[in-house]
Amino acid sequence: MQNNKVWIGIFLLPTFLLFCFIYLIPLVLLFATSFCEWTIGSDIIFSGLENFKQLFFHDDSLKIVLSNTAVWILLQSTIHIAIGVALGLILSRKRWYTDIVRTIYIIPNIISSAAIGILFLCILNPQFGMVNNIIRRFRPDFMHNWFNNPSTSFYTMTSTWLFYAAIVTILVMAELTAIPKDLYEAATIDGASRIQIARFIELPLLKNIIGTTTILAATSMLQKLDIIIMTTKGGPGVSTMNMPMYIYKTALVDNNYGLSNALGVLLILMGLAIVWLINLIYGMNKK
Amino acid sequence: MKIRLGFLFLLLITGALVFAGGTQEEAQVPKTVTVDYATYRVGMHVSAPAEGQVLAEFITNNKDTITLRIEELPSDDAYTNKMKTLAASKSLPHVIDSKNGLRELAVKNGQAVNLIPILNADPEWKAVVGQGAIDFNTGSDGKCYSLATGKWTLGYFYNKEMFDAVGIRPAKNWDEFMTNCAALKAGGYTPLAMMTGENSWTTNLFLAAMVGSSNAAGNAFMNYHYPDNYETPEMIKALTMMKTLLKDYSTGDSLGANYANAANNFCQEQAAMIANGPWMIPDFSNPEKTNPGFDRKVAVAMFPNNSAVSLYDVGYSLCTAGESKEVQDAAIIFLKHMTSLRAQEIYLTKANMLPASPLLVISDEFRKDNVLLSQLIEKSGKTDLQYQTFDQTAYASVVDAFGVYYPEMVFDSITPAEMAKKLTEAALKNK
Amino acid sequence: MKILYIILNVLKFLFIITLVSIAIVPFLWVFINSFKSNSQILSSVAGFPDGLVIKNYWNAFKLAPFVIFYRNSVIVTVISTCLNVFILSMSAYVLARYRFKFNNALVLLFSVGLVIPGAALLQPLYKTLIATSLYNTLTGLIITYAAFGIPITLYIMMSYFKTIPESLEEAAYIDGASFLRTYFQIILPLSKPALATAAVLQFLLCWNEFQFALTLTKDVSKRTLPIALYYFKSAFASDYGAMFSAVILVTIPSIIFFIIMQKQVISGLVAGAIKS
Repeated sequence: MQNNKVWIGIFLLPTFLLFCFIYLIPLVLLFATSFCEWTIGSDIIFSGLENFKQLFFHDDSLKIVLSNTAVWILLQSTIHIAIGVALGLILSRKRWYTDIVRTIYIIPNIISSAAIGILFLCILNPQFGMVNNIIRRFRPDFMHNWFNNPSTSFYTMTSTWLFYAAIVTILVMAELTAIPKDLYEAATIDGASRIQIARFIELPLLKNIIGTTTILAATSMLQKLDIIIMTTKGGPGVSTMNMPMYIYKTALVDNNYGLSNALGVLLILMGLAIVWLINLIYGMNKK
Repeated sequence: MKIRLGFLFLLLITGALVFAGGTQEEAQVPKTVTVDYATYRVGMHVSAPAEGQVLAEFITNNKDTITLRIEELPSDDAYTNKMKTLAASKSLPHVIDSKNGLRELAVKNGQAVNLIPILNADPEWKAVVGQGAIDFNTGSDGKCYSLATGKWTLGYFYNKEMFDAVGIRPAKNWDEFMTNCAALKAGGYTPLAMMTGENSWTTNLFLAAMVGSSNAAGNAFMNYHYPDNYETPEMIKALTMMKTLLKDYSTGDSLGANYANAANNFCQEQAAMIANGPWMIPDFSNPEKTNPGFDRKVAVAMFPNNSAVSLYDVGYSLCTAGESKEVQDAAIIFLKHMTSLRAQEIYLTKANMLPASPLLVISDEFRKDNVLLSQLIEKSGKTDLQYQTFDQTAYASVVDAFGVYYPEMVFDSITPAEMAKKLTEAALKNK
Repeated sequence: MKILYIILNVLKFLFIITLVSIAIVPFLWVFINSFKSNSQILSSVAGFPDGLVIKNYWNAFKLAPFVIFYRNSVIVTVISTCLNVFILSMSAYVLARYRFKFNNALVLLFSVGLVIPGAALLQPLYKTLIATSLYNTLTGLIITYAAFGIPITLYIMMSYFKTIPESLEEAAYIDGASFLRTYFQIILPLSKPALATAAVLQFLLCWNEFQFALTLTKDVSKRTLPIALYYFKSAFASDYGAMFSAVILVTIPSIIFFIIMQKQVISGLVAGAIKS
């Protein structure tokens, strides 16, 4: 086993080096300059807690931005995961439609988010978009601006990603292949129904991967940016603004790197807390 | 076996990485001076063919002395974002189109060069650029950091057929403008092709016109760069009027629409008016975008109160402070080419951009072939009031704020006065 | 009991049909419209194109340097995916299997990649690549993307390795197999489904990433496919037909790749390979 220690080191080293090369400098800079005044083109000046004071005491939008982000994380780690897992369980029983369904369902996750943005913008266009045109078959005068009416903008934005859980599905299906066949056979002989098999055999064994997909799905909401830029830019007002969009705007529209890095620190802390929490809920650190 | 396969694999990756890196170094060692330039006029951009020709001519003319290295940055956002990243690293290209506040960043990071001494050293070139363009981009400190190549004059295009059908003529004042809209709506037409996506372009042209033609204070406001306060009576009044226009007189998709939506709505005869510049004129006879004969239905009008948007563009900046003498000289040669009469002529003929240079005479022949453009030039020459656009006078953060707060205002979540306050807040956020 | 069974089956198919239609309809809409002219897209509501007009695809190819971008995207994606999956599966293995001092700390550290905002990475990464002369090279993009994929691949692989019974390795050690041999000959072949899934996700990341591809390269000869889409988004442009055909051109390879890979995702284990 002594020998293994060396191998552990060797197996970890490439990843560690890669991580440091890409992330170390940005991370240090991010944390350091969150305490500085730094705008594009100017020098970096230490300013203590100014940025954080600005965020917590003088920024009315931040509260809404944080709550939008939190709601999206919550929806993504519950409904989104449930849909993906359910479909994964259904498709794990090989039928003629399995491959077709899985391939079609993943298409929205395959298309680049820039293209998805254009696509939803066109489909939900109040005038020539497909959705309104279908509704008009039944109500000829129908006119609704899905993305820009403040009463629906948040839900419209949510629907551009909430139901597309193909990544969860394929991860669950990959994991299901590891379940020994004799377990199924034994259960079937005992007269267990399909649902009982799912409930008492598959789901417990899937705990790890469900925890993993929950982490990935929840944290993906901390990176969701392209589609918002392409559609509403966080508007109307701040109704579809999330943390990444707010950071992007602060850095690249307002030119305020210092403040955006302070927001970045908040985002990272929030994200790590979520990862830790999900780990705890699913007991993933236990052997 | 498998282990060896694994190592082979690793070797392959390493090899491929070296290879991918190696090809980079193979690029020929430049014997000439290299000038860096970045452009967003690529792909579907309306000026892409014009700029392509201007750059190609420069490359042929200077192939023995200067290598021009062009970075293509498709779309406005991509261009601005990359330029900002470069500005923060003090490594902007030698010559840039410094719109969207990039000029200010280049000055702030110390890369921009004051052009006045260079202009004075070459009187011939200075005459080509024109005193008007130079003065327009000269700050109160007497320094000029960018040179315009285009003079923008714009009003709005309207559909004569629709106007005739309801018996109206282009409005002389804003009250008449509102009555015109009401008449068009009553006649079953949608009056305006508006947009609040991207930079709210067609919408904000009307807004600029409302503010700029309201009174002396409003006109001064629309000719003042980077105001910090948008809570002026003129702004609030204009926003109130705009709320009505967006709510009652615009195409159904105007909130959140991009330029493409607005332009298509006008070209597909879904709306009677669109505010835009002369570069749109070729679209009117493009069979891909319009029905045959559409160009004969379009006419151009100035904004109410006989006024027009009129400005020089921000133009090109020289960002060579700290570079070697050779690079500086080569970049100046490139800048001179980009602002030359030849370049402006190409822009005029290929992209319908009106030249900034006073020396470029537009031939009668060209005028005869471009009726709408000639009408625009003629009518704008007779206007009483001129003002600039919000894209020119406002910080990027404010232009952005217009887009996200228009829908809130139209759906009554905020009042026009509150919207003005939001714009002020956005201006204060700009750094 | 029978009725319940039928109801459940009906619900199941409704569920599948709903998901399939919300996934395919937008894509089909774009696909059909990519053959239409601009005016057709905006006037005709949901109809089919008059004829199979491939003019839009012509235009798309003329307006953006698709060929170069395709080539670069393939190089970057393939190498970066291999690199990422290869080194991450090794790290994930030891992190999932062995308890050592910094185990949890390392996992948490690598998770940072999931939560660090892209806007904060742009400028420092640009400077890093300039300093190491990797700016404007495909190598720079390959390394960057391999690093971006660290957390996702790590989590997927770790989660899968945990399902493989430890008795397998113990048996191997008793037979005198070395650590390396055990990993490459026993563990890795068993992990094909997870490797394939991780590869699919890493492929998509590399194939679709735009912001960093643009910021970390300069010459057209070094750029990748997602940038092509933006050639159709310029200000004052309004040709939807060409834009939609560009979307299709960018997306089709990913779909083909997934169809090829999905056999791997499922074909994983030989029945009974894992028996405790």
